Amino acid sequence: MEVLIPGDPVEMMTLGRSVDVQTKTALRHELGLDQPVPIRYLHYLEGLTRFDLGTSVRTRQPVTREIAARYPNTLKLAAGSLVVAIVFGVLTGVLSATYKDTIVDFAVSVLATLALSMPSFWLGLLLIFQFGVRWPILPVMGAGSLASLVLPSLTLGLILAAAISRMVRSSLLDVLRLDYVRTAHAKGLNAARVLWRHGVVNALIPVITVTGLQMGFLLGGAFVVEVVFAYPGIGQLAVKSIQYRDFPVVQGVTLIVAFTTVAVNVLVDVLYALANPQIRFS
Amino acid sequence: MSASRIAGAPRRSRGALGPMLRKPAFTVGGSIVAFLVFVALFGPLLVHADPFSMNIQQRLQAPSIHHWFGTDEFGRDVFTRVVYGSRITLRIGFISVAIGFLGGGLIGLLAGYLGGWVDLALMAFIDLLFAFPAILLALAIIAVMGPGLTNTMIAVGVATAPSFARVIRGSTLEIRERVYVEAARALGAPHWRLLARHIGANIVSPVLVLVTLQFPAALLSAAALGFIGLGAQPPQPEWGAMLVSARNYLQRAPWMVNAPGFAIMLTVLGFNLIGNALRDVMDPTQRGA
Repeated sequence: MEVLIPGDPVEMMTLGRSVDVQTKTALRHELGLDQPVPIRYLHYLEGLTRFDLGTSVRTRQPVTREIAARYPNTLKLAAGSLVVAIVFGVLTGVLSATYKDTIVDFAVSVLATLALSMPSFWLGLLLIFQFGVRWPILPVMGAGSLASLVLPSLTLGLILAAAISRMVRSSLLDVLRLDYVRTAHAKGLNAARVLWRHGVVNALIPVITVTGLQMGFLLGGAFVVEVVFAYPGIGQLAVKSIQYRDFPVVQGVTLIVAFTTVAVNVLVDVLYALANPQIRFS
Repeated sequence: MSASRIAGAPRRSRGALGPMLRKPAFTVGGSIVAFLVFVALFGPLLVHADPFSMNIQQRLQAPSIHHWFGTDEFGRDVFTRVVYGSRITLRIGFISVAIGFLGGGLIGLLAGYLGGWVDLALMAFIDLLFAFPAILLALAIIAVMGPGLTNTMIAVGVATAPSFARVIRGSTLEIRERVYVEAARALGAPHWRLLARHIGANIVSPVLVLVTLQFPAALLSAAALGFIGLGAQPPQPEWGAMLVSARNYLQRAPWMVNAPGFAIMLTVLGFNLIGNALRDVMDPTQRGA
């Protein structure tokens, strides 16, 4: 996996700065860039074993520190978006399955289709305009308070909610056709209990897997949304670092994102097994 | 069921247009896309303003009869820029999907057809790329190659390649084992003929579905790259990049946000609707909700 990660760190040194040759040479030496690529690569790998990802060219801070300062923010944003996505997605999905082929179902489906076609940054800008400019009740920049998390989470979460809503609808419609649902109705249980206890709970099992697959979308989307809201997460860090050709940081973020994606996938598999009694790890 | 057909050979999917036209999603999506193509082809001939001409006296004008969508911070006409932007957007879509299709398709076809260690190695590589969300893969490529419109198309194209590789490999694997392919091989058909005539022709429908679904995804990625400043660079009238300045003037000129964003959504919506309708008609097993 590491083969991909080193980009071309020499490039960042040639970025049009009016620095004399001596300073450049000194800088190169300081950053270890005067050594051949395989040696640098070995150094990088060796650093990895000590959780050392190198030093940022822009801030001269260790890359691990730069990332550690922002990674929790990105996780918070992802978690917030996931909550928004699940709450809205499940509610609208259940709603449109219960009122299948009615105006409610149609409205939900139109909204979901629109949301899935919407660029996240545009939705973000519209939310900023609505709740930051026209009706200034929520912070539109930075991180810190819980309130500052609301708009970015809504931006990212609503789009994911549209995808979840569709899955919940089709999965719930499948489940509601099953025999045990009919049995439950025949036993005389009230309809709401059958819907939630027998229907939705079972319908969510396949939804977990597909939502897990969407975690990549969530991380990728976070990069863009962080820029919209000037939210100090690793996405904003990566974008800024690319603009400044700060390759050690870009490499570090790429590594951490790949690692997170893999970790989340494992987590989703475990969750899936916990939720579905038909699956047991042997 | 006629006896003259070789058992298992799929019927040519002729007349797919009929069921397509009965789908409202396809009609709506098709109209949107047709409108868009019209605007991209003829729009610049119909608008008189220059998308790059600046006029400081006219800066940040609200929408009016002279400037339908208002003007931006340099006094450029937003409507004109949106019209010109449609060309950029469609070009991004076609070129990046073509790159993804050719690159990913070749990998998938080779992996599926040759099998064995070639398959293992190629698919290990594709799985590795799948560890990254598409937009991050594109970002990483931009990080190495530098920002810009051309690099955006390449980056987004490469980022879509893994999906093509996977779908085409899967279809190839499945069709390679069919009796009629075996029959053709037994008759001594050369590799290229097997690939083009028997395998290629029969994976057209899943590929077509994937193309129409990757197209809007590519547009969204490219616009996002433009927005975060790594894609198309100013003064190009790319819709994503236009929203960057809109963000800075949100208080004084909120109209700058509307047109480019709506244009992106409409375009993506049009292609999404076509893609969903195609998927429903061509692949009844994956019928969406």
